[in-house]
Amino acid sequence: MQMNMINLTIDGKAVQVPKGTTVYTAIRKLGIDVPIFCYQDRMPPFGACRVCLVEVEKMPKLQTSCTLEATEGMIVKTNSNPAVEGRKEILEFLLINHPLDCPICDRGGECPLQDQTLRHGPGESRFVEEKRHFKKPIPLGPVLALDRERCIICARCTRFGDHVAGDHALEFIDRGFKTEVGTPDGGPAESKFIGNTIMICPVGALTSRVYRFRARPWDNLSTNSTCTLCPVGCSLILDSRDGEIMRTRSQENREVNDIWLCDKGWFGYEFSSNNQRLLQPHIRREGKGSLEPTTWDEALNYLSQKIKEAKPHGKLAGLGGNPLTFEENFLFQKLMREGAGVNHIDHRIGGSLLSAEEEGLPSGMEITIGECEQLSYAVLFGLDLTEEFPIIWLRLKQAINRGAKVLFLGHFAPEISAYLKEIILHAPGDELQTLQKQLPYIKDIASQGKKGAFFVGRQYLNNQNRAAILFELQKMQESNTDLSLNIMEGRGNSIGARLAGMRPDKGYRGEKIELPGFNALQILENSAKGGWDFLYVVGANPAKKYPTKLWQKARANTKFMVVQDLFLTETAHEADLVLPTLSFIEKSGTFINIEGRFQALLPGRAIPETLLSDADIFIQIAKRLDLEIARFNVDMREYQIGSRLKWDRPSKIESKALPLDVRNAESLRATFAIALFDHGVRMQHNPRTVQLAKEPKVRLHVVEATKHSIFDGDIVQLTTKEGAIQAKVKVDNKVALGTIVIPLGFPELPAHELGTCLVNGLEIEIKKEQA
Amino acid sequence: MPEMRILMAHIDKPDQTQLENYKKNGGYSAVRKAIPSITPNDLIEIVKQSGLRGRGGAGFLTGAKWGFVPKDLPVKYLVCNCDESEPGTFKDRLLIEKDPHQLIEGIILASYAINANTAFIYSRGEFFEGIATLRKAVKDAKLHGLLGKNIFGSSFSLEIIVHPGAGAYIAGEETAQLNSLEGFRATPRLKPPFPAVSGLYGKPTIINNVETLCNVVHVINNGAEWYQKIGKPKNSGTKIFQVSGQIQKPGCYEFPLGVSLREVLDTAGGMLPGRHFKACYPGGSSCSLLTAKDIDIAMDFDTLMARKSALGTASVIVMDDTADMVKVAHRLMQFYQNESCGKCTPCREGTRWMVQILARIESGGGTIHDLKVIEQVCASMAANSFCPLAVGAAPPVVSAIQEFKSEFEAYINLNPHPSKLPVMKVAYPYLETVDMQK
Repeated sequence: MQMNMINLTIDGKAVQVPKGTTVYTAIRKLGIDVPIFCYQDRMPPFGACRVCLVEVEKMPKLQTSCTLEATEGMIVKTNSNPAVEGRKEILEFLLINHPLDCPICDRGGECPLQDQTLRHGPGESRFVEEKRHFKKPIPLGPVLALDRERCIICARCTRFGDHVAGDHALEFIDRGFKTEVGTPDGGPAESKFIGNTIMICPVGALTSRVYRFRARPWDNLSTNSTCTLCPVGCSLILDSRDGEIMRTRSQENREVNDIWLCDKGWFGYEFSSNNQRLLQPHIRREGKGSLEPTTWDEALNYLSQKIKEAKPHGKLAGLGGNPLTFEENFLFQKLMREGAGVNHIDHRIGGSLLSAEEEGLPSGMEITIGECEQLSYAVLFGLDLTEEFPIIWLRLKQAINRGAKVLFLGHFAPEISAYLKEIILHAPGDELQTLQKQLPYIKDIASQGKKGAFFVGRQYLNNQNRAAILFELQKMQESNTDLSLNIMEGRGNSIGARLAGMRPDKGYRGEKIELPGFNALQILENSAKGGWDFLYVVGANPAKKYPTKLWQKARANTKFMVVQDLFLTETAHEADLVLPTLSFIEKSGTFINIEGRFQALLPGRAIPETLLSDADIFIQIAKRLDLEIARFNVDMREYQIGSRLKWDRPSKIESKALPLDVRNAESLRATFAIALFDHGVRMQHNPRTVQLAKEPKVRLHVVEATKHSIFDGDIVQLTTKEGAIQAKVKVDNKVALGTIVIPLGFPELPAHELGTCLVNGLEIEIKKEQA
Repeated sequence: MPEMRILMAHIDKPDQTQLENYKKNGGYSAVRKAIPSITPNDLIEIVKQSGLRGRGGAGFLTGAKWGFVPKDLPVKYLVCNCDESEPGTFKDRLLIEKDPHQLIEGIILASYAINANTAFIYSRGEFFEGIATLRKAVKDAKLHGLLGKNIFGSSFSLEIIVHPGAGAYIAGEETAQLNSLEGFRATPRLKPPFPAVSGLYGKPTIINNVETLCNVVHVINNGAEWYQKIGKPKNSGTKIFQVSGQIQKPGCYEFPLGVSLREVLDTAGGMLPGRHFKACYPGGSSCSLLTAKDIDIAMDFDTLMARKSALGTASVIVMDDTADMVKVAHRLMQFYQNESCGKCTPCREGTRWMVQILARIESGGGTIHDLKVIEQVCASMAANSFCPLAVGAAPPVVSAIQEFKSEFEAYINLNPHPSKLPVMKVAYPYLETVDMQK
């Protein structure tokens, strides 16, 4: 170790750093303050802003410390007159065209340029000319605004797109003093991570259109919490002022999100302050008339009365749980199992409903998200990483920057294709054959690398052959201890819901249930067929997840339905009782992410007086049923490694392959894709973020389109045995032959009408709609 | 001293662009001589001994540069810098338009020396004729087995790609040129690593000027000793001087290094009738002015460096007594302002600031204090910039102020309050509002 250490002297103080360290890092190690703009420690040195100048003995000129590698015996002076004057001059240069509008600038108060000018800058400027003018601000998409006059061309944002996100969303336009930040095609910035550029902008040039002019940073109250909008569960900071949420920021967490967030994390909080939010319970008395506001007492008494009435017949069910905390899920299943006496509970609304036996292995990651940076190879089996687990892409990109090879097998090429070594496309249903054909190649890649990972995504998991696929992959993993098998499936806190026992066949922590209840689909089918007494829907919208025919019949034959949600959803409209609840911004509790990490939620704003959390509602109901359930503290130390869960996976799973019917040459097989930005209930109530969603279109290859004389932008009719819908087409040659990609989560494209169980490989007849 | 035409020996012959004529005039004898009978290492040694210095401006020893290339890596590149964009420079254009095979022969020799199998000619995009001529010459050379696989039956293969640039001065800087060649913005790269170690696509790359590579041909043909005898010690060989501006016969003139400024000007026909020599930039615009008292200075790398000017590209921009030095300074600084790539702060902000001050002086709003500010800001701009562009932007203006201060003062005296400091115009309110709903 000593061999690789370098000794140098900075301002007379000796310091030892590893070989390859920059002088700037060594300076920071001593706690000496040197200003810096273009350098950002997650990206390679750039040396453009020139503000970190220091004097180095035996070097004729001042040196930029961020680009200079420390060498043995180097003598650095940060406080000598030339160095101090040099930095002053650079700061003067930076300020000559920078408007001094700090009092109205969003960045004021947390602005590196402001802070460093105060400490290191010249008191006055020699510049008496007119400053540079640009039209400002200009919008770069729904969430980003650019003030070109404030920009100091440090290139942090453009390099973020090159080195970190890989999307090249922002680029420089023109040169010299006319240089400005823009997008490659002049349109909105195409990125899922653009919020990060606002964070790393060292001035107020890039600002959030959601947060713009809403608060001064020193007025904000910050709370550390967790984003629950996808299963990654990034650590974030909620900033509030006067009890209102102003913005969210990333919180550094090396294990999960590093210092980044996706745009859902940066901007997806607005729904919590939307004025359409439900603020009091609503009741439809005697099942007639309209929903009317009521008191919590009446609502909860009415609800517990209905449970008591229905309990003897056992026709009660509970649906939902993904947006709830782990503790709330625990209380919900306990209320349903012990208070209502049934096992008819499920959190997988509209999701894949393969039973525990068919699943083979439960979802979850074996490595931590942070470890993705150290991989030397990875294989993505049908995983659209940026749409489902955006932050994991940023971590994996770091591995790719270091030379890791990443392969993709699946139904359509993901948007990160440019960084993948190989993309193997095949139609849904051909997973097993493709896997067997590619095994030697995958084994070859694996044999060259050290630490590797398989990531299995929904194209392979929401699949008839799921167990057989996982069996093959587990077999490969057996012979390779450096290989991890990561099963990437989840929505929100679905892993927390599963572990809390929100399923008909497994209890808390996977306890065996003697008499398994119905799953979500069976509950609806049974109510549609034989009538039902009581249905409790929490944070879910089954009306838009199942074919309308099935749902309407099920609803008509259900005597009493209670919906607990933030908004009056389509399901809530039809309810007999609607209970308002809290969003993740206002909750405390635990979120269990895709790697099994316990992430804590804390309320980031004042909880509205008229609202109760889901947990409090469940406890109040239980009280009225004389059931003792109390607030619940996670104590799962025995199950944990560090802050993560140990997955109890069966050591060997059964291989069960269910062959699909031979495909009709005219029809296509569907693969159902989810998007990071969709038009789900919460996203619909984010006025800005909702605009980030792309227009929903079904996608197919040009060869398939030609067969049916379909052109880009045509409207087509999609038909299955169970239903039919209309959709707009996008011809996309990144889709495998024989495949149609159908997006989920858009009311304009009601894919749920196509079937009760949307498993990939579903056969679709496609016909051009006559105009 | 009379002209000594080596590189320009056949430049006047209309058919020199044809391969047969080039051969007839002794062309491609250097490659015949070198491949395969001289080993690459020996070839580098010959060029080292000849003392050939780079003709692109910096005057670095060519043989030494070639020696930096690591021997053990398989892929290497040669890039011929033909982005000639220094104001007043037009020698490369002449060489590629009139004698393209001389350059190709030089490229073959250099590529052979460093064992590169691909060479790029990064040409200034506006050289339409030159690019067409080069492309035809490359095609012809390939047809005649001078390029392609296993040249003259040796194990050495070479392809040449002619790449037109997109019009940026900074693309003449070697690392910016590599970025541009790779398809990125032409902005300079961090050094180290130097291109000889990690250049184009991260592979060892040598970047040489057109004139340098043409010189290699004659070094190999006639030997290092012959070459060393031309010119002065440590400044061997001939140099194409491009004389422009207020002179009788502007054009290219080839002299041994060390020729006096007076001889160059006289050969170019001397000053216009009734005019007197006032000043000149000896090596393109990015150097300090020479004035009438320097008329007998020796035009070589070391003498001009000692004079705190530079030989640069040996582009002599001549100004006679009618030249207005304030306008010269203003115009030149505008050039650097427009050509700054914008990557680093001092260059991007400093050049524009200087233009603003010079424009104000020229329009009669200057103060004596401004001259001090120009000198101070130019000094810090040149000292702390990322690449040599700003280093070159300062001396033409600073030397103009130093040598011709009275002209600047005359403009300043137009200002009714030359001692009063100007006041900054406030940059608000905004010029236009933008509809943020869109």
